[in-house]
Amino acid sequence: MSQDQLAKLNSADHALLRVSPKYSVATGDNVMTCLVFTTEMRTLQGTYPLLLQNIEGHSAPLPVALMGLEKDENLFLDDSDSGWAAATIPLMMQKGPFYIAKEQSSTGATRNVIALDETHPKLSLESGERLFSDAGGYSNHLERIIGLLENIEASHPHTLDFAAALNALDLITPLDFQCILDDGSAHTLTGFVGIDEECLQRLPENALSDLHQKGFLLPLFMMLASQSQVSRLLALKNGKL
Amino acid sequence: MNATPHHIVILGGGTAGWLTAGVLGAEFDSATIKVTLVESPTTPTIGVGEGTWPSMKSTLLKIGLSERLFIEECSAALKQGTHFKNWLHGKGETYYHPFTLPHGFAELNLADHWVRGHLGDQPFASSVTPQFAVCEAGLAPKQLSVPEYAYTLNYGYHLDAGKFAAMLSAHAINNLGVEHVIADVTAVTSRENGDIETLVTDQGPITGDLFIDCSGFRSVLLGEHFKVPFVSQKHVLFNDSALAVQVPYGPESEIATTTKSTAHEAGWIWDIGLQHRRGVGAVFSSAHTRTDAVEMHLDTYLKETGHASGLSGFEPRLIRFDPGYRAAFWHKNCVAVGLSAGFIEPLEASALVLVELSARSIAQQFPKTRQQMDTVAQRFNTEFLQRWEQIIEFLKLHYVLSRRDDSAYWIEHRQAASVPSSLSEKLADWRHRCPWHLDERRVDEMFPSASYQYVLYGMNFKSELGKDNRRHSEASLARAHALRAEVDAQSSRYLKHLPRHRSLLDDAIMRGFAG
Repeated sequence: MSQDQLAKLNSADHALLRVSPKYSVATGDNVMTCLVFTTEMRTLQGTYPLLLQNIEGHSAPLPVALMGLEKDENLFLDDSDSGWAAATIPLMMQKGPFYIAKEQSSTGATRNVIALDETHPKLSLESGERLFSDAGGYSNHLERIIGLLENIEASHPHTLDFAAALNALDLITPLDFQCILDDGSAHTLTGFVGIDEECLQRLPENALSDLHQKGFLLPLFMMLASQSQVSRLLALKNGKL
Repeated sequence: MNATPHHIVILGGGTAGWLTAGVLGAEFDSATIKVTLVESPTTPTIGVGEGTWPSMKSTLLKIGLSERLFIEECSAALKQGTHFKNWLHGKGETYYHPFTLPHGFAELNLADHWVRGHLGDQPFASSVTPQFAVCEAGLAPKQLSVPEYAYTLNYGYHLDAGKFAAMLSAHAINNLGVEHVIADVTAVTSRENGDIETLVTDQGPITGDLFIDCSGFRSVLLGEHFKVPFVSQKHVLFNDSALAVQVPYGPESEIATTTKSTAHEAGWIWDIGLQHRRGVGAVFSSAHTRTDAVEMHLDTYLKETGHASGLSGFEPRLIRFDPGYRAAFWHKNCVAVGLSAGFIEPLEASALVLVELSARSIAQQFPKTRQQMDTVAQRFNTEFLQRWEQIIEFLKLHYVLSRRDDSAYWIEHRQAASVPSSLSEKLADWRHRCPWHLDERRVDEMFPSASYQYVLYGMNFKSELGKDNRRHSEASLARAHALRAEVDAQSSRYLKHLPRHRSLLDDAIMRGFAG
């Protein structure tokens, strides 16, 4: 989403706007992966495989949560009230159509503002949570989204540094494989990158200590631990065959 | 007579019996369709079939066994294909038949371009799949972070057949509700329509609706009881004997990740690496050579492959077999699975895959009524007759393409009278066209056209294609070059990142695969 397609959030234009809190295919949640941030890896690792993926415009592959086994598939979407079959949900999925944009003030300083994609199917005047109260203040729901956006904004640089460090230390390994589903069909997963345990074990002490001081060791191990969640995805996929 | 069959009785407790019991036990709820396996306390199992196809991954997954436990309990190793040596001239030349299809096989036939010399001068397998380089380097086909049964490069297994039967047996009895009866069958009683009614045993009678004969070479039910004739294939594939030894090695030894198949003057030698030992055996034709001559080949082979003392200290086990299969596999209410249905030399390891396919076929089309059983039997017979013919054709291909002339054995193998006409026709066709998807008549063809490519072009078969005058030939060539470059890129990536075969097996046992 390029920034010029976004509108700055304001209580005049968006006074009656509502956002759907529910996840569904119809509202664009059927995505295979989403970016994840170092701060949320501890909570996500018990549910999603956290891998790395090459993303255009970035020299090092970035951490993502794997939610499906093919393009436009999110195996966590279901018929429950929330529409999502897990208790923890990645920040990028939770934040919906909202973004933090930079705005230049008259004095030339930049500041963060909340922006939104007005064409997003989660937004409507009919259903969902109001963004503003009748008095024009932020609704509780919007407050919560702003909290998410601030969290993302705060952990974004750390996550990029983390990804760059893994790349620089050659701690990552391409992860191409085919899974066999219950119906006997094979399913290919390519383009992902995982943590290379062998390299990690060979890492000299000073490099480990450096990773630790930068706060990279914990997310690194969370990513390693998360790899067993591929079996959850396979189970979900088999359940939908 | 239209009662629903509800009791399946399997006779025989070898690999075939327990694998069939596992597949059926996993498929059916034992409350409605009960499976009983009757095993003789005295009959020893033959324990051949130590190599599997990649299909074993999905079979084990379906049966519900963990890959980690399987690798641990069956001393299993990962097999990425077969490495042939001395088959063409007997002068040390080699080629691979890997399990991974040529890169981009679904969209484009790289063989068309390799044959024309557009892809460089490397051997066919190394030009079309990174598995060549990975096998040469002795690396595993996946990393520990790849989940159980998933794979980066396709693989089957090398396994200890005795341990495999024991593992399947425990799982089938404890988790799948299969009943285990240890008894010797003393007689068989029949119904009016000729069906088997009861196996009379020293532990009492066992009545069933469908009887699966897994009794090995004896073929107690299909052969001895029903007298379904045996169709020998010795005139096509001459081998009728094998001399086998087990060579132990220590945990410091590398484990080969392919079956090694090395031709000798009147047959070939298999070499299958497990975690703790190699299984090595010489297959031969008793009509063309003497057992003591084969012992010498085996002795030389062992000495050349790191076992300096050769055969001394070993008592090689001599196995005799008649290559061929039964004229029908399913007769009345009895179906034979495994050696009781037939056996052909273990080149390309077709024994266990036939058991898997038979068990799967029985599970999928299990007849609801006795009347329906005849229809199912007919379909089953047609299917498996075709499978046997496909196997024989593919095995024969290895001999027909050989140019060895150091013995009557190799020369006679190329005589037209010994070659199935279907194979001669294909070879004539492939003189002008590379095999591809059109050569596969059914989705579960025994050998994909890729397998034919690996053997044909591994053995210097010449297809004269002429100039590519198709409308899109330039685009096709460009795509072929791109795929070829990807094979190289994958090869160097995998060489860098894949673990050594033994270290993956050790790690998998100790820590398990991710997922």
